[in-house]
Amino acid sequence: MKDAVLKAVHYEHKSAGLLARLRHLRYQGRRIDWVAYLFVLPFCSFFAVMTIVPIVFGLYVSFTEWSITEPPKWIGFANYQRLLVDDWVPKVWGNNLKMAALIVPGVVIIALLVALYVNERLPLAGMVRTAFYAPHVVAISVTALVWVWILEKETGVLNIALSSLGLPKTSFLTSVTWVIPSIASVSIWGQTGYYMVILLAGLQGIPPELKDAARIDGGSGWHVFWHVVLPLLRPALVLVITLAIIAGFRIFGSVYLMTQGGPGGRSSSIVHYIYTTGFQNFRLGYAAALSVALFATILFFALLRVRLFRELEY
Amino acid sequence: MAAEKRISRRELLCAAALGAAGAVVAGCAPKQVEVEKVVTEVVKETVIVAGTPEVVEKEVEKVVTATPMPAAEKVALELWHDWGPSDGEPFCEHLARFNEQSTDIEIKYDVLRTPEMDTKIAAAIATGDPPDIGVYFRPPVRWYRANALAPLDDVMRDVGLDFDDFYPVTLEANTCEGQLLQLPWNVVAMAAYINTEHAEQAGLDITNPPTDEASLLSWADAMTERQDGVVTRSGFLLQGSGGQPNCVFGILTYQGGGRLLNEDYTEVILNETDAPARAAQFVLDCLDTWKISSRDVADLYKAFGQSEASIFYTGSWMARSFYDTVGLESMTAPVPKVGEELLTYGATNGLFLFKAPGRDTEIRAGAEALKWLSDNQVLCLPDMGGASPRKSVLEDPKFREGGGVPWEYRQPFMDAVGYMFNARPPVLDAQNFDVRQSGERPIAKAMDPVWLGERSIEEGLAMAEEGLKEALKAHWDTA
Repeated sequence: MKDAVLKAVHYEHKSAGLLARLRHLRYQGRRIDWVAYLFVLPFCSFFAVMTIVPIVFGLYVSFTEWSITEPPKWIGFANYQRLLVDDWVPKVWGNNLKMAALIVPGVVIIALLVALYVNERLPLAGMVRTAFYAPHVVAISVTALVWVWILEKETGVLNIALSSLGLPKTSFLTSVTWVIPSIASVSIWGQTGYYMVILLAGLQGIPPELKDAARIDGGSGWHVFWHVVLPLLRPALVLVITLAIIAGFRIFGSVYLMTQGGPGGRSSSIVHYIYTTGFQNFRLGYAAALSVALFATILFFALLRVRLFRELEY
Repeated sequence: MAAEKRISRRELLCAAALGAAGAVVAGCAPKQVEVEKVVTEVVKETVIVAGTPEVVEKEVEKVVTATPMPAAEKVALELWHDWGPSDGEPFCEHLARFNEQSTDIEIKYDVLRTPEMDTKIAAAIATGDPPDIGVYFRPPVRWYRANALAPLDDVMRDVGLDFDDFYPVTLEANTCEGQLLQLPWNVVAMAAYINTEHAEQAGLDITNPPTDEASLLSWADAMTERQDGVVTRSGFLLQGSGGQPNCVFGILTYQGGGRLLNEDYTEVILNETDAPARAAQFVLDCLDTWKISSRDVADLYKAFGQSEASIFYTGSWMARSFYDTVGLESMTAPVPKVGEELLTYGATNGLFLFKAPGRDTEIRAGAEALKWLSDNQVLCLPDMGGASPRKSVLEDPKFREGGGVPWEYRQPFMDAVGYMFNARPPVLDAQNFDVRQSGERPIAKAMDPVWLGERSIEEGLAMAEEGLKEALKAHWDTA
């Protein structure tokens, strides 16, 4: 009996010692605050299950042949080899590059102009801010339908307006020349408001005394913008450019709803191709390989952006 | 002054642990037993006279329970379908009628969105818990290959279904390797919608719609509007690429004697005749030579609905919509015969039974349910728009009178069951062989550049055949 009590006391001491040691653990000279970890644990668990695990699993699936109903079959690099000879791949990548080439500068320039306008509290600034931000909160299914009605050749509002000005009607959604600019325009229209808010926050973070000092030194409005505002806005601009590149490569809703990738695949995007490959043809392994290739493309442009802007960041 | 209470780490950890334990206990707690509320009331009951589609309404005193019947008394079946409101609502009412009259089976249903139907079924099969009944718009070969389907021949015969009442073409469309995979429910066939206002303006006799190539072209030409040589209103509705030109190309290929696959679906025979080349040339001529069609149509249904086109080949799914469209004066007619044989596009939707370990009772109950739903489909199908795969239903006056759209408007789609080709053959991913296709599917991928004038017909057809061969190989590789 005495032995048992002694053992229990010993165990209690031992466990208390472990807890105490944990409590006093230090990292880089600072005591670890376990309560803080407790607070971030729910998010981290959720993030791991919903993001990290799917990414790793997606990478694994890209080396398999899988149709959901059967277990994945390991096929090594076969999906990546197929990707290199699939004639639809250069087509959709090319389409996306063209879209991104229009969307990124378009959205950044317009968002910057609108942010400057709103930041200067010029007349109707509130209305402009609301008008540009509103498309961002409307579902893409709605905006895509509206834009189809606007861009149609015979009865579209835009073509009716062009005709009334004596200009020829244009096949915005059915011509191989115009379909990508049309989809890019819809994306620019939909995303400008969101980026405008980011840039507006950046503009409002610039200390007014810096601009005042430049003006006192005789700088014109343009000089203040070019030599003070723009350099200080660079972090926000870099963020906007990065996000716009990612969005440009992930375009799907407007393509799916407005053109279904037509005419002749001229507006088909990478994500649209991934969707049809994975969820209509059930070639999930190949769809995963396409997704990995898309990730690599976005990563390449993100790194390129880092390389280009590294020297310039303040 | 209120005392400030600080929570120590230990207390916080204890509170968190208690909260988590409470959540676990709550999650594991047994379900609360529902108290059954019994109410007696007089209700109008729909009684179906056995063996006939007669419906009688009478008032009866009925015990209504506020909670569902205990599971032990009824076999509960789960059904998934992806029909939209216009088809889904009449079908769900039909299911309710079944539940009302059945004493031992209850069907519970989930309505899924079409894009997610395939993935949800696949995921359910992968987890070993599929629903009991599915509704599908093509032969469910993929689920058969996954060993998740109960073949229907014997089980339906056991419950007394009369297979002789079905049009053979609809059964063939759903038979893979000698097994009936799904019970044909309705057939969506194509006919020609014609804008009668345009026809009358062009001085055409709408009581004699076009029946062959010459009359089709003369009608389309008469109704086409052009400005400076550019078509501004298509007499014959096409697009620059995608579903419509490919569909017309497919119908004309079949009418010209061509086929995509041989009879046992083992070979691609697209280019064994010159029918596809002639069909492709017809489509190109409509766009470029005869100038009766425009490439610049973004939305086909809107174009016809708003009188921006005159003849439109499409399916019965648009009959109610076009008939009800305010300002649109239209009629329907069989697709004209442009070639040797009158054939049109037809696809069969069907009901099928999933199998899983320990589900023998559910499969038997499912077969009984399918038989009742099919035997009594006259109560529901007129409102759904499609044609019946059953001869007795198509000839039933109630079917002809129902649905809110006059029989003469619906008739071309119903008659088409007698001369349709199976647009979705019973092979894996039948959409690859469905001529109404777009995007990167084999025919569209090969022929869209042909319609856009970027590839020759010969190159397009050779590429289409290669794509179809690859798709067919996937079918046989999984056999």
